[in-house]
Amino acid sequence: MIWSISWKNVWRNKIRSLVVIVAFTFGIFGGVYMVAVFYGMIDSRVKLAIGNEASHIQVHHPSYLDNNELKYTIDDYQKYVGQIENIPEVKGVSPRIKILGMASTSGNASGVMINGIDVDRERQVTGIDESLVEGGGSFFEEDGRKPIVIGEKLAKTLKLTYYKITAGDLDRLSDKKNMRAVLPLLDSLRDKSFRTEADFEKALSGLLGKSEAEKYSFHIKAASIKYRLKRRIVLSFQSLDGHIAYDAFRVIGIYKTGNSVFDGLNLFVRMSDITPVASLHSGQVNQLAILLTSVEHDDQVAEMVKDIMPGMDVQTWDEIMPEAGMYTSTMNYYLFIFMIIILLALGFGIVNTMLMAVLERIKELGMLMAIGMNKKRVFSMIMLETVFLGMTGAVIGMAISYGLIWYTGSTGLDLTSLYQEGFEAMGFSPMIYPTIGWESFIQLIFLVVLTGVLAAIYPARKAMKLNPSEALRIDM
Amino acid sequence: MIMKVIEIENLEKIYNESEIKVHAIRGIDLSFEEGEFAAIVGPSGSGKTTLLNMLGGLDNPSKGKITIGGVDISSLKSSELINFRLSNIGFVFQAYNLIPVLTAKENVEFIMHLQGKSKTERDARTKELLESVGLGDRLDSRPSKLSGGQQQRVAVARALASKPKFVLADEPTANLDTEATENLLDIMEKLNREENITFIFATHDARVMKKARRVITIEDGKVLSDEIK
Repeated sequence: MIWSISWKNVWRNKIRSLVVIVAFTFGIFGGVYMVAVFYGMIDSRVKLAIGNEASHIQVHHPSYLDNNELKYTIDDYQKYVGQIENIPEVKGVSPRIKILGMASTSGNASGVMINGIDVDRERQVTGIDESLVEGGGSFFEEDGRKPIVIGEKLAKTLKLTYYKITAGDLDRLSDKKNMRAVLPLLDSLRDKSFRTEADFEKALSGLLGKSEAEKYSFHIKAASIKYRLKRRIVLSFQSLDGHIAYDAFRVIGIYKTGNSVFDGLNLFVRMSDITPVASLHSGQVNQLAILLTSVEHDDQVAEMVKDIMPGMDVQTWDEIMPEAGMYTSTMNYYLFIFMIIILLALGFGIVNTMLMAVLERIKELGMLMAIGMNKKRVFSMIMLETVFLGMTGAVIGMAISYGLIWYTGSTGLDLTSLYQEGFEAMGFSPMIYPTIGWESFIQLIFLVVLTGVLAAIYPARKAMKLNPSEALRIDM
Repeated sequence: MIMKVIEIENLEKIYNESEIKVHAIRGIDLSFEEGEFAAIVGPSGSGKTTLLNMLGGLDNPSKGKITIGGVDISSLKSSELINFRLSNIGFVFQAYNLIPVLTAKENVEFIMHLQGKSKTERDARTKELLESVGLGDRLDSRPSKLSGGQQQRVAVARALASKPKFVLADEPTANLDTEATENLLDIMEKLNREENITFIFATHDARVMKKARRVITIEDGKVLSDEIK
């Protein structure tokens, strides 16, 4: 009965209660949804990192990771690959020779990580083969002498890109509604080549004016970038025998993973091409990257790999990229602080509302105590009212958040046009799929109830301390 | 032998508000028997509400003793006093004071809820009481949908719900017109006879005094006369 009276009391002053409920709804919604967006970002970062960079498990010579030195190899890797592949949770194993070196073209030079790979095995483990840019060739599909696949970022550094607006590019740009206004102007740049991004940007701002150019240049650049395939890249590095080795490769593919740091550093060549240059023996690699069917089995499979390759250093993805684990745990911490601030503000709103509700009901409360409602019951009645008030808003807020998280979680929030470059520089995808775990939801419910209870204490104590004979005398 | 329900011995009440001491009750000795229908009358400020509050355990006497059903209520702790009120005393207030969010039935039931009575018992008693105050057809109406007279009848039903030893009614007819007053008094008298419950009114309404079988007149905190009709 107390429950039902409390619930009915919440609705005595409908407008006032609704204001508090709406405030709670928005507060909770704002907090939860923002956290879900951040979780979505981290989630995609981790997935991207596992899919393109770290894989689930990596095996190295125990000394390799200290200095990334070529000499610390896994020998006769073929012996292990078959055994590892027999573990049912393993999707693929990719052996890699990893060499820090220098890549140079006629235009520029850059420090790089040379990945000597078994092309077919690499396809099973990373998504690089599916990340080739448009007009960026292929992932070792053409035969030919010493092919090399590099990231778009590195291609820019090595001056293997240029900008040219073709008729086809204009066509594609005309599909974007907001671009249509500037298309006729762009026509005057058609088929002109610009060697560097800076030159192209200058031409654009000359044509469109500075502010317009800033607004549209991202899409125009993305549509009109062209790649100089088949160009020569010379790789130089210290080979196993201590000499500086170098060899020339031809660019046949350009990829883009969404992490521009990775794209600027990593290039891929065939293992068979690099082994002799590096003075390695056949069967010597620096790394085995293992992809699993699901992330849940990582620790278990890592143990099995340790048994297969005793003495080798076996790491799971969260050890390879401790920052990924850090993101998740700091985000939990932020969520906590963030929600506490929101709830604190909402909590004071509730105290105010409930205090009003108590003060305008002094006479009624006095009557209830006179006829025999004890202090404990009066206290719980006011407590319940307060908690109901908060919980109603919280439940609605959570329902809206859950619905929107579910919806945008499946369609994705596209922030491409906002901050793509910024996101990619940090290794995040601009396509965000908001997500939130049940633990966080339960944590939140707990926090909301706690806020309601804490906010209720003062008004409820005030009600409890009333003296019935005095309260009854008050003229309302 | 007729049971004494209430015994008041040498009762005094002094309010110590700020510097001024107000001697509201200056030594009253009274007793009430089972089944009385009594009115305490007197001009405003005579002390009748103060006396009623002390009888109801809402206020503590400064001196003297009130014994209800053999229990000295000034010896009870405040939590014990609330439970004592719950099972021994019914209250009817001038301003009805029903719970606005509850229906007539729920208002009457509420007190039995506090007593922890079973649902069947509550339902039966509620229906019986509301029928006897003539509101058997308004069980599900909220107070705002009832007239003042009807609300006060619900309040009477509520006061009787706990089967108290006596009912204290402070100016119960002050807000009612003559017809509603007659009606209410008839109902209370009927319940007084049927359930043998003592009714004590504080009033200066002549209609109530006419109906009462005992009229106690108070002035300046003292009993001026005690007349049994």
